[in-house]
Parts: sequence; structure tokens; C-alpha cells
Amino acid sequence: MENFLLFTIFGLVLAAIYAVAASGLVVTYTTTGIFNFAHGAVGMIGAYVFWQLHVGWGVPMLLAVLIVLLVVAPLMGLLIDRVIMRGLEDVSEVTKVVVSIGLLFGLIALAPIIWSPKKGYAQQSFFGANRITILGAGVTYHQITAIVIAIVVAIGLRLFLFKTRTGVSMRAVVDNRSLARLNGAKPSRASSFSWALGCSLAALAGILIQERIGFDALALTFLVVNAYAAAVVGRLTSLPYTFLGAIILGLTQSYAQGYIKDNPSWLPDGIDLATPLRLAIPVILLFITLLLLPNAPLRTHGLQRSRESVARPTWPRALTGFGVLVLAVSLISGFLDQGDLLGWSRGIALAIIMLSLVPLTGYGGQISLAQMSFAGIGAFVMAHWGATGSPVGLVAAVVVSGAVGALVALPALRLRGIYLALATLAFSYFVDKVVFQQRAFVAGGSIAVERLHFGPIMFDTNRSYMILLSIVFSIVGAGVVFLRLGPFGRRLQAMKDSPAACATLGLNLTRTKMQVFILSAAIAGLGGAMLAGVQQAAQVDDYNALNNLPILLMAVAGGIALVSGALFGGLIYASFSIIVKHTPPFDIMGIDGKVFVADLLALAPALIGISLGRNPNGAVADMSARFRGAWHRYRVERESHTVPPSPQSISQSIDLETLGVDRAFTVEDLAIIDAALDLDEDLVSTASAGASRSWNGD
Amino acid sequence: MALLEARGINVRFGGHMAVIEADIEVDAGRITGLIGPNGAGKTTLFNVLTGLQTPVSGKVALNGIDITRFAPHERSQRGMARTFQRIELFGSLTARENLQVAAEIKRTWGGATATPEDRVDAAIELIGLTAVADRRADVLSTGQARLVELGRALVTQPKVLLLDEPASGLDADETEAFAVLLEKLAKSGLAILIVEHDIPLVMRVCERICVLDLGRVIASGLPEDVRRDQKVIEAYLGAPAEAGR
Repeated sequence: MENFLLFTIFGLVLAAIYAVAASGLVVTYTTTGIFNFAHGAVGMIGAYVFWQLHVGWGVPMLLAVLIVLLVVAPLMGLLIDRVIMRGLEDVSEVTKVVVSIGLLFGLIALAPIIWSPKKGYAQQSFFGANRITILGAGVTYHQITAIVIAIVVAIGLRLFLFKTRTGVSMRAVVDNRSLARLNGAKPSRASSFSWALGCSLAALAGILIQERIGFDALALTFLVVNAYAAAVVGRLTSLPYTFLGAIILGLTQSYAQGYIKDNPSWLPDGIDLATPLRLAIPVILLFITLLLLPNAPLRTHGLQRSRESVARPTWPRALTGFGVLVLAVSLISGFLDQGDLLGWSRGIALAIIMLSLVPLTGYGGQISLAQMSFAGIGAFVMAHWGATGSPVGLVAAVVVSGAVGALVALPALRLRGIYLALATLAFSYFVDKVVFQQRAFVAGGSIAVERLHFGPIMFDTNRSYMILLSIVFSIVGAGVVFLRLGPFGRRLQAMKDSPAACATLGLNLTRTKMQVFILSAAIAGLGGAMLAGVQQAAQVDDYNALNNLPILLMAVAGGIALVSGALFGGLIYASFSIIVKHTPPFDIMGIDGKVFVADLLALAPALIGISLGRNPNGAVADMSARFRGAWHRYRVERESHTVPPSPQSISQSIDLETLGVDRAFTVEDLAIIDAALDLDEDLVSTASAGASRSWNGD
Repeated sequence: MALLEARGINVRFGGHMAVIEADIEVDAGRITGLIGPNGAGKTTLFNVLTGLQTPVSGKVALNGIDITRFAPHERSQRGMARTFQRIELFGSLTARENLQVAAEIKRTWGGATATPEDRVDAAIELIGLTAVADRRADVLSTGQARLVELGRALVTQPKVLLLDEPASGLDADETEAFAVLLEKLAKSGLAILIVEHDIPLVMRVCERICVLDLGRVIASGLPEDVRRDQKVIEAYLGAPAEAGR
């Protein structure tokens, strides 16, 4: 009984911290429409800054807390709002998620650069070790403080949102931004304020939780990630339900830690359920909550002129591209040393994994943060059933990861995109903490895998394996192109543009999403099995939860809707470690240059991800648009020597409104201009019909 | 019995009742108009009929089958198609592909007789957009986009067609052509429900008219009766007035 009381109190303390974190998440989401995946990381940074002030620089504890909560965290929030999140209004949900994932990854990469993990960071507890005894259970002042703070936050937020002008205008902005503006609210001020408040709450949670788990960037970040489960109970919008969710989460986790002690005796040796189960309670709760949420209503949002558009692939171009890739790899691989061969091979294997996101995210608009986990499952299935390099293992890897994909997607696919992203992030954490910890499955974190062979055809040298990888990438890439050009690809594209319209045409959205999710997980599994072949071992570290983030970031950076974008993303990502390897030792201001370069490159995916708000189509589309633009200018210049088209006739023949003088030019626009310059009357009259302008042939 | 029928529909948005005890009937081979001032609840009622909005209470029946709890795609598979007030085209696809997707979706659930391509070509010709068929949907003019939405709905070969402000964005000539097209479609046996602010068009093509105001059906019947209804005149002009006579 005494124990039960103790676990209950611990549970409530945990609940209080989750509630503080989750309410910050909800405040930002409801006001800005952006789900801040970096919320936990902001809390982690807040905790470190607190340590720096208090322990590092000797600032009194209360003052340090106040500086973090009232100065540092709000400034971070303002910075995030002004520099990163503004300008995300006309981009897709995918880009919004990717930008905040970029921030999350960036902060996790930044923390160990500033606060070296090699140093020790003592946990800080409010009021030292003072404790009181409640019904025989010892409770520290810190724990009591946490509960009191949560109550104050709950009452404070309620009063703030309903009784103050800023709070009311924040709620108004949620409902209708432009209407709120007309009525005198200032949406930009409301969003700045909500970011500042959200970051403050995150930092508060970070400071409270460090007492329990200590200073570990990843653990701190992911513990606040647990708060997602609480926020989902509140459907990301309701504060009372979020607090309820936090209480359920905190208590369940505390009871699990208290009562799940030993593995049941019937479990085979090498399988540990108790430890991972204790860790995975929030994830399991998140999944249960997702299962219980009602279907999201389909919203109509009108035809949107998004800045995002990429040209559709064509077979001649795609096949040429694959041919060039295989040929280039075959030739160049002859000049690379063994280390670089492995480095670039890794890049192509990662590109296959990123390729799995092209149909799912690029075409279908669904976000997955678990592709590396599916890849890991593929790798370990390969290690079990194809350790000798048998293609059977590869087939099994594809089948098993596809099947696991179906299980993960089932609860989340009925819901809106952000929930799928959350569910997959939770799943990747679960795989990391539960599945990849089983000795029976992963035997100490690494299992040897021989490289593939098809009968007598061996790919056992580094070079031949790299060529094989380029061939596999080309085959899967061709499959993805085939998909895009066929009915299923069109359907995915349609589903991304307007789910509501698809449903009213008779499309079963859940089934369609399920199909593409399974396909995507299967491709990731294949890529994972191929990646294991590069190192000739399936290694847990390659597939940990954190590694999902750069996969998505780099795939989007290359161009999420393009096969070439995946290749670009994979190769650039692989190039980082190759660059570090080739960096000669040097010294800047007493810092080891090699370490400096490595740190810089560790931040690179994050910086790329954050900058995607500016160029959401990805690098490949951007470069090809620039190239076409230059080529086009060259042609116009050359032709202008023969038939100079008068500026008037051009502007009359092109419907400036449909071309969208207020948005970026697309390939289609260029085609229209082309047509106009060629003075093809049919197309010209078509182009001008939209604005009811008549074509004046002179 | 009407082909599509809704009884006692109530929809609540927070503390606001958007639709109150609304009844509506749509018959085969006939164009029914749904009119009312802005904010009357017309689009909300449309969303209830097509399954995009769950009502607090009330019943929707299609062909005598209760479809109140059916998902949007299940209703579509039973012969319902619609267009949207705010255009919901697939912007990254061409106009033709918009129709093609619809035809291909139809093939996944319905025993379509013609091949998708044939039906798509026929529909493009019907709505008169052959010239712009291969342009991306997000660069079409509003009028063209509305026609593409109509064509897209038609290739699913519906029994009931719900059109939400299909004539807004059309010029006079286009509206005239559109009226002729609507009448032709109704004559072929299609049940059509149309939400429209162009009252002359509604009066011309509709055989029945239902008027919504503040979420309630305030009048329903033949065009000439509705036109003279005192409550309708008040709803439109905001006060008892003689102007309507």
C-alpha cells in the first residue's frame, strides 16, 4: 500500500511535467497551426541553459530559472517564429513538418557541441534534498514544486486565454486568421506570443524533468516527446483533455515502472519484455489514443496555388538517368579507395531508403518518421534469413517490413497527416527501445551479413557491391516512376491535392494510404537490407530512432517528389562523413579543425531542413529549373536575332494572371511562354481565354 | 419517393446551430435549387448530404437506403457526386487527368462499361473544355475550373449530382451554355441539387426550390411560389418589403 502511494505520487509528478510540456505544444499548435516537433528539444536546451547559468556561472537557482523562462526561452520562441516559421503559410503540411523536424535535429546536434557529453552535469533539484513524508512516503520539495507549477500553469493558461486581450485574440486567430485581423487582432503578434509562451513551457518542463533523468540531450528530448501522447488525448487542441492525458500517462508510466519488474518465466531466454515495456508505456498509450480517436472530418480548403510543384518524370529522361547512374558508378568506382567506396555505397543504400519516401510523401503527401526503423527491420530479417547473402533474405526483408508497416499505419491512417507523423515517430522510438534491445533478435547490436549473390554471380568486392547498389536503386527508381505515371500515381497525387474531392469521387482514402504506406515500408526494408550489405553487418546503431530525421530531411532537401531527389539526398548525406574523413588536420582558434568540420556537417541536415520553407521543391527541381531558365534565355536570345517578337505581342498572348506574376514560375509556365513565343495560335488563344482577352494577331 | 432525401438535419458548430431541422428532397430527372443568403447553411447541408459533415441528428437516405452513417466514398459508390464552392481540383494534374483519376477511381469500385479514356473524352467534350484539357488545373480560370469539377463528377456516372455554386465565375454566355447543359443532364434522368446565388439561373432551370435562412428551411416548392413567399423576401432583403412584388 505504501508503495502504491509512492508510485502514485511519482506518477503525479511525472504527470505534472508532461502537462506543462504538452500544454506548451497545444498553445503553439492551436495558434499557429504548426505542430512543433522540436518542442522537446527546446525543453532540452532550456534545461542545459539553466545548468549553464546556475552551475556553470553561479547564478542563484531561482534567478537562473527566471532568466531561462522569461528571457532565453521566449527569445528562442521569437527567433523560431520570425526566422524559421514565417513564410510557411503557402507550403504543404509536409514542408511544415520537415522544417520543425529540421529544428529538432539541429538542436539535438547543437547541444553536444556546446555542452560536451564527456563532461559530467549534475542533476539540479529545487530546495536541495529536502523532503517531507506523506503517509509514510518521502516526497522531495522538487516534486511538490512540479505539481504546484502544473496547477498554476493550468489555471494561468485558462485565465490568460479567456480573460486577457492577447489570449482572446490568440484564440480568434486559430479560428480565422484574416477575420481576426479585420477585427483588430494582430495575428503576427499572436503567433509570436504563442511561440514565446510555448518555448517557455517547454523549457519549464525541461528544467523540472532534468532532476529525474539527468542531462542527456537525447533522453531529455524524447522524454518531452512523451508529452505528445498527452497532447493527442487533447486532440492537440483541448487543454483540459491534455491535462487529463498527462495524468493518465504519468500514472501509468509510474505504476509500470513500479510493478513490472521481472520477465515472466515462460518467456524464452534473450527476450526481455519488462525493461522495454517500462520505457515504451508512453508510446503504447499514444497508439491506443490514436486508435480511439474518431475519424477526422475531411476538410475542404479550396484549390491552392502552392509554391510546390515539380515536373512529372518521363521515361526517356528517367531511363537515361538510370543508365548514366549505373555507368558513372561503374567507371568512377574504379578510381575510389576502399573507404570511399564504402562511404558512397552507403549513400546509395540510404538513397534507396529515401526513395521509399517518394511515393509516400512526395506523391501521396503522407509523412513517415520511421523509414529507418523499417530499414532496420529489413536489415535484421536479412541477417536472420539471408546471412549468407541469399536473395531469399532480401525478399523476406521486403515482405516483413511491408507487413510491419501495415500494422503501424493501421491506427493512424484514418486520421490527419500530422498524426501519422507522430505515430511513426513513436513507432521508431518503440523499435529502438524494445525490438532492437532483444538479444534474441539483434544479438549484441550487430549481426554479420554477407553480401548478396545470385547463384554464381557474386558481389563480394566493395566495387561490385557499389555497382549492384546503383542497379538496385535504378530498378526501384524505375518502379517508382512507373507508379507515378500510372493510375495509382495519379490517385496518390489527387489524394495529396484534395482528399475531400477524392472521397466524394468514391476513393477509399484509408485503403489507398495503407497501400502506399506498405509499399513505402517495403522499399525501406529493401534499402535497409542493402545497407547491411555495405558494412557486411546489420548494426542497431545505423537504424536508431534519431536517424529517421536526417533521412526525411535529406530526402526533402533533394526533392521529395523526385527519384533523382532521393539519390541526391543520399549522396549528399554520405558525402558529409567522407568530407570529414578527407579533412586535413588544422587548427582554428585552438579548436581542432577536423572536429569543427564534423560539428558543422552534423548540423547540415538541420540547416538544410530549416531552409526548406524557402525552397520547398528541393535541390534537384531548383537546379533543373535554373538550368532550363538559362537554356531558355539562350534560345530566346538566339531566336530574337531572326524574328524579334514585340514585347506587346508577348504580353498579350500570355495570360499574366494564370502565369501568376505573384508566384514562382513553374515548368508549365515556361511551356506557355514557349508556345507564345512560337506564336502557335491555338495555344495562345487558350492561354488568353482565361481572362477573356482576345488575341490580337499583329 | 425522392431519390435523395434528408429529414430533420441538425448541425452544430460549437455553440452555433448551422442547420436546424432541415428537410430536403431531390428527385430523379429534375433540378432542385437550394438558395439562401450567405451563411444560411447551404454548403453545410451539402456536406451533410455527401458525408463530409456529421449531423448532430437527422437522417439521409439515398434510393431508400439509410446512408446517414456512410463515409463519403461509400455514398459516392452508391451514385452521389458533387462539386465544391471553393474549388477542390487536383491542382498538380491537368484538367484531363482530373477526369481520368475520377474515371479510374470509379473503375476500382464500379463495373464501368466504357473504358476510362472513352468516358473522359466524352465528358471533356460535353463540358466544352477540349481546348484546355491538357493544362494544369491550378492555372485554369475559375469558370473553367468549375466546369472541370462538373466533368469530374460526371465521369463517376452518378445518379445524384450536387453542385455548389457552379455558375459563379462564369460570364453571361458561359452561364447560358451551362443552363442548357444542366437541363440536358436532368433530362437524361440525373437528379440534380444546385446551390446558386444567380437567382435568374435558379428560377430558370429549377423545378423545385428550397430556401434556407439561418439554418432553417423557410420555404420549399415551385419557383413561382417561392418567389412570392413573404419569408423569402424578408430573408433576402432583411426587412418586410414591397420590393419583391
